[in-house]
Amino acid sequence: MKKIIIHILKIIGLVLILFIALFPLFWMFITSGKSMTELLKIPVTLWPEKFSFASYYEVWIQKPFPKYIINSLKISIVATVLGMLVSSMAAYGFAKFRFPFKRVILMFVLVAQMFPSTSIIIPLFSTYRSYGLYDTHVGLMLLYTTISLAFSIWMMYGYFRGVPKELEEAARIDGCGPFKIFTNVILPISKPGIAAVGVYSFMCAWNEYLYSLILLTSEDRYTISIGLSRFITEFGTYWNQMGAASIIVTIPTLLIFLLLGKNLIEGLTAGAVKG
Amino acid sequence: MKKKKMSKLLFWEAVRGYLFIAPALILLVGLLFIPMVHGFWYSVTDFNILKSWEYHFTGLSNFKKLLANENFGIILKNEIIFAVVVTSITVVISMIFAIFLNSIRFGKNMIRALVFMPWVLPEVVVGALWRWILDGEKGLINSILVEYLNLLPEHLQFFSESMALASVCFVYIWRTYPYVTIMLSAGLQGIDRGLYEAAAIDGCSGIKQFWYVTLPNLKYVLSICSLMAAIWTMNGFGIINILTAGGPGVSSTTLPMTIYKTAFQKFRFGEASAYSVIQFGIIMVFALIYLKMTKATKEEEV
Repeated sequence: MKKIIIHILKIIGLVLILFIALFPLFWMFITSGKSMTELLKIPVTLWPEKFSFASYYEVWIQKPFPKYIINSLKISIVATVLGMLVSSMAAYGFAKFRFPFKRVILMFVLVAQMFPSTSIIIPLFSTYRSYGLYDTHVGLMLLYTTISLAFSIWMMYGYFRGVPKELEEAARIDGCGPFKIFTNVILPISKPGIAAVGVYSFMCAWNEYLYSLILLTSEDRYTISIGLSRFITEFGTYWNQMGAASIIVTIPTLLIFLLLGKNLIEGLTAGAVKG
Repeated sequence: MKKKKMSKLLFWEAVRGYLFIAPALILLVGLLFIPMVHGFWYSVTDFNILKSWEYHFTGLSNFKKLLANENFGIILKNEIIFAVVVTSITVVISMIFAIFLNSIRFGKNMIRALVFMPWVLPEVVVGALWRWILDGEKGLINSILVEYLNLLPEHLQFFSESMALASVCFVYIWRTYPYVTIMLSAGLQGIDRGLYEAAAIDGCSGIKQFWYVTLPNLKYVLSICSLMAAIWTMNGFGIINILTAGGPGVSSTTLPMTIYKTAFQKFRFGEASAYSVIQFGIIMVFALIYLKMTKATKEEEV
């Protein structure tokens, strides 16, 4: 009897935790299905009288959202691929080679991710203007690669340190150079780590807001973050469209995270278990 | 002779090592470190892009101006309240959630992924979600509290001067707890079960076990993730900007918000950089504590 009660309590607790995590998003979905007249009602209706997908149509066809999504996808994919490459190279360098100032550089990498972005953006704004990177996607791609780098290097570093030395030695005896060992031996067995880094960099790039807000001015170059934030300020009352836009923007993150989130969580928590 | 050969080998190993880390280092130094240092230089100049793109050394006048600003005290206070409230409540909630989640045996990966959701949503979406739910007229919370349950006589204005900071804190807690929960949950799994059995034999009950076994073993993970949470919170910008933009007045303005407004609404780059220097100083204190505690760099002795 006592066992059953504990079991029921556990289920209630679990539902509560999932409710806290997911309900706000679900509420956005409910809102997106309401009509404009229903939105004006007080108190708010808990479920749309007639669920309609009109707001999705409006956001997708009448507003330049597809354009923003293509921009964001382009930037995020480049930043993710670059990030995976650069961070795994760096992590391999740190894990397998001896060189002076290694500890200092590692510490710098660790601290670099804590620099406040609002501070960095001021000098970056004028630098980007003088180097022609202002209002370009290339500028954002480079920046988005960089912001997730520190975290990614640390995750990959953990993975590479776990690779047994014998494996590399065997490859070396077979006549592989350090770069070949890296691409043919180390990378294939570190796939879960690379997946974790990929998810993390993609999320960072896809979600980033401040840098694109400052560094982009032409509307046809906007990312989803600025597109959405402009939407809030300009169409403040169209909450059904706002909901639809939020849902659309969240779908890529959601898909990638549900597919590969396990890897990211493992990568993030690897340090916690070891400690 | 042998020694010379050895040092030559070491030399080439170092060169290869540097080649592997070079691309990452160039990006990190070029796009994070140099701008940071460059910003320190701005802080002692009269840089104002509305007037001109040229700037001159003006000594500490920006810092004097900032100290004379009557709002500076409020902003600093907001920043501290924000960081302390968000971090402490997040840690307590996450602890409860983590212990609870670890007692559940089924669907572990799925549940962890779902609990993690608030941490992976775009900042703008998080801001929009809560701005809508906490809306003073048509917000869900108000409708439930006032119209459906009749608990309150009138709608709460969550973004009014007296409540704005609390609302911002609340939303940041919602944003941060998944990360801390997942970290603590992993940390809990790392604790040796035998310790609990030993404690049980010695007659320790649940709460005593938590106090004498769980907490000491979790100290490391706990301190690392609270530091991380505190740093993220103090640097937080996006969600505040969407929710309240620091207002009304300066009631929910924190340092990053001030830096943003001074730099990109008033275009006073010099003054904004002076705020940045202060922000950087505060963050570095926490970063140094982090470096001191973390085992990540200590195990480095290859």
